[in-house]
Amino acid sequence: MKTIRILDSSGDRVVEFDDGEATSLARREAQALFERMLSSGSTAFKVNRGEGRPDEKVTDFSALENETIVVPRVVGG
Amino acid sequence: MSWRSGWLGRLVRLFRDPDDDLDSRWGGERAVLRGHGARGLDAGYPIRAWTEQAAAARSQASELRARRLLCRMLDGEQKRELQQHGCFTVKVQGRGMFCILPRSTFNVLSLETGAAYCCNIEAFVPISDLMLAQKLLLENDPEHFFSVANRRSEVCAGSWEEELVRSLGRSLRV
Repeated sequence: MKTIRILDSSGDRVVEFDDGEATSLARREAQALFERMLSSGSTAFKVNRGEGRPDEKVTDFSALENETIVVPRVVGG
Repeated sequence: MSWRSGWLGRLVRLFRDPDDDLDSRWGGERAVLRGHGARGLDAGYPIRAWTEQAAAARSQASELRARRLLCRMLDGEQKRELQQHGCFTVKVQGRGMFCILPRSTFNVLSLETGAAYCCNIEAFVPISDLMLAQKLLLENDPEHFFSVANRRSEVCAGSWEEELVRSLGRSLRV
């Protein structure tokens, strides 16, 4: 099971999907959401990667690992 | 002058996109402006959604949830700093150390120069979410952070920030 956390007013919204079935509805919905967020200026990071590997920016849905944090578009304050 | 030709009318037109189905986008609720000159006006933009999101982001439950996520994402040293001082430092390759303070504007301080940076999330989020976003951006996509952030080059740190920096064992270089 993979998790995408989208930062929002409630703290974060969690989207979970199983990578096993490439055509599953949950996976397709997660992919659509992920791509829509990134196209609107959000940035995604792979986190908690295990084995001491550092967090990493990710733009490709197929490259997601166990946990991903999506930061909505940032602007200068 | 009616509201339609005044500043309020221009504001309403500015926010209203004729191709945008606001009703479906905002859960079928349309905001109603109240007050002199705009009584009963169907403004067509989501005041209620906007205020509800702002209130939710400031609620204790949201902040607690965000704080738990932030704590889970920090390394041991950053977690210790957050617990002791309410802020934490991140190392940015080629740019030195930065301190992320728990406030919403100009809350990223360069410990090398004393400059303050302001980079906010466009959506309403709790402060801990903002701090987490800034940490992730500074550590993994600093070009993006610095291309977006506004910078105040003068040393703007007040006594609170200076005390924090001192307690973190570093000093501002003026």
